[in-house]
Amino acid sequence: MGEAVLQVGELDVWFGPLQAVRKLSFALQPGEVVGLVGPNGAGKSTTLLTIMGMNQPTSGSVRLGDRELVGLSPETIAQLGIALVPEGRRIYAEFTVAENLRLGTFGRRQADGLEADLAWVNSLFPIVDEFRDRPAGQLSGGQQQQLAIARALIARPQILLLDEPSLGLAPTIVDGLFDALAEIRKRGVTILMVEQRAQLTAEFADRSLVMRGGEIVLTLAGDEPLDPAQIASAYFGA
Amino acid sequence: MTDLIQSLVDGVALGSLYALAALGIGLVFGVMRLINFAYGEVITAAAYTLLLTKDLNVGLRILLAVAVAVALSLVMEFVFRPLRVATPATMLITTFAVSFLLQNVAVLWFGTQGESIGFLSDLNRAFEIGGIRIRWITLVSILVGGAFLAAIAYLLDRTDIGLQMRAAASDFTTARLLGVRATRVIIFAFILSGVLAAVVAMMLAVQRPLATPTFGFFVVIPALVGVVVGGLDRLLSATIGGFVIGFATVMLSDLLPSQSRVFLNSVLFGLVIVVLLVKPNGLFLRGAATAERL
Ligand SMILES: Nc1ncnc2c1ncn2[C@@H]1O[C@H](COP(=O)(O)OP(=O)(O)OP(=O)(O)O)[C@@H](O)[C@H]1O
Ligand SMILES: [Mg+2]
Repeated sequence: MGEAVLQVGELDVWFGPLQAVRKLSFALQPGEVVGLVGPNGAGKSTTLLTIMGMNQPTSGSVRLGDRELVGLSPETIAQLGIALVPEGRRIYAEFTVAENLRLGTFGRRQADGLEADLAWVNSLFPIVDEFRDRPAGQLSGGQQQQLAIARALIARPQILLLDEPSLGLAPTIVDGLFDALAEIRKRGVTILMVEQRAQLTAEFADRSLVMRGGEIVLTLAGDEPLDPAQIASAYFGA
Repeated sequence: MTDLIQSLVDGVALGSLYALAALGIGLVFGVMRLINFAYGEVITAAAYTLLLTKDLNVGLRILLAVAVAVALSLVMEFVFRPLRVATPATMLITTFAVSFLLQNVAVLWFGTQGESIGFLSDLNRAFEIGGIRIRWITLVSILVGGAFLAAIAYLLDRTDIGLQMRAAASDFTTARLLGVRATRVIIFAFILSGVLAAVVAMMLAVQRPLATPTFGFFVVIPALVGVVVGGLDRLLSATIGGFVIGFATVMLSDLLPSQSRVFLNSVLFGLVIVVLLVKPNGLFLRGAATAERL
C-alpha cells in the first residue's frame, strides 16, 4: 500500500454519556472508493462529520496527508480539499440552483480551472445547468441529490464524503446516481460513502467497512463474493 | 387633505430610518441568531462622535461617526463571540447588560442633560410644493434610506459575501461545511450594521439635535418592534416591519388627539406582545423558518 490520503486513527467521539465512535481507525488510499455501511446509529454520520471538523473527538487523529485536521474548523477542512454531501442533502431550497452551486465554490483551493470544472459538473448533471434559475426546492429528490453532489464537486475536492446519497430515491434514480459516482471515480477522486444499501455499495466500492456500535466489525473486499450470512451477523451481532 | 399628505411624507421619512435600524439588527440576527439590544448604543456612539467633532468640517464628521460606529460594532462582535454557542436567553441578557453598561458610561462622560449636536441643522428648513411644507431632512432621509436599502439588497443578492451571509442565515452548519468562513461572515454583518447605525444617527441628529445617553435606545426599541412584527428570520420583512412602525408612529401621533398620544408606546408594545404570542415568526411569514445557529 502507498501513502494514504486520509488516515483516521483511534478516533473516539462522545455525545454526553454516549460514545458514538470507538477507537475507529481506517485509511483511504488515493483514488480509492470505500463504502461505510452498518445499521442505524452505528456512528457512520458521526464519523463523516468528525472528519469534517463538525464534531470534536475526545481523542484520536484525522490526517490529510501530513496535516492533522482535528481542531480545525469545518470551513478550513473544506478548503483543504474534503467535501461532504451531507445526510438529507441540505440544499438551500429558497436559493436558485445556480446559487446553490456557487456556494460550493467557496471550498475551492485554487481560483483557476473553475470554468472547466463547471463544464464537467454540468455534463455530469445536466439539470444543474438546465434548471439553473429555479429555486432548488422545486427540484425532485433525485435532482436535489444531483445538485448536492455537484455542489460538492465544484469545490474540486481531493476526497468526497457522501452520506446516504441514495436515501429516499427510486431504484432507477439510484442506478443513475451510481453511474455518476463511477464517472467521479474515473477522475481520481477518493470517495468515502456511507450507504444503507450494503449489497450495492459493496459491489461498487473497492472495499467496504461494516460499522456497528461505533466500531468497524467487518471489512469486505470488493472483489470477494459476498456472504449474506456474514454481513447479517456483522449488522446485527451474533 | 394637505395635512394627510404632510403626515404621509413624514411617515415615510421616519419609516426609512427605522427600516435602516431594523436592517442593522436583522443582519446580525441573521448570521448569529443574536438580538443585539446594544445596537442603540452604537447609534448613540455615532451621535456623540458628531457632538465631539463639532468644530471639524462635515465630511470629516461623517467619516469619524461611521468609523466610531463600525469600531464599536466590531468590539461588540468580539465581546459576543463566546455567545455563538450560548442559549438565546444568555445572549439576550448579555446584550442587555452591554447596552446598560454603555448607557451608564455615557452618563458618566456626558451627563444626562443632553448637549446640542449641531449637525447639518440647515436641513430642517422647509420648501413648499402645492401647499405642503417639506423639510429638506425629510427628503434626505427618504433618499438616503432608499439608497442604503437598495445597496444592501444588491450586496445580498449579487455578491459572494452576500450569498455567504444569506446561506449562513439560512443554514450556517451547511454553509461552513461548504467552506464559508463563519467568523468572516459574522464580522461583515457587524460592519454593515455599524455603518447603518451611523447613518441612522446622522439622520436623527439633524432632527433631534440633543445627544443623550439614550439617543439610540429610543430608536432601537421601536425598530425592534418592527423587526419582531416583520419576523426576525427574514431580512426583507423585518426591514418592512421597521418601516411600518416608523410610518405608523407618525400617522398615529398626527391623527390621534394629543391626550391619547401618550399611550402610543404602550400600544406599540402591546402590539409586539400580541404578535409574539399569535405569530412568533412575524406577520408576513408563511411557514416556520428554522435556521440553525453555530
Ligand atoms: N449531535 C448529536 N448529539 C447527540 N447524540 C448524537 C448526535 N449525533 C449522533 N448522535 C448519536 O450517536 C449515535 C450515532 O449516530 P450517527 O448519526 O452517527 O449514526 P448513523 O450510523 O449515521 O445512523 P443512521 O443510519 O441512522 O444515519 C446515535 O446513537 C445517535 O443518536
Ligand atoms: Mg447517518
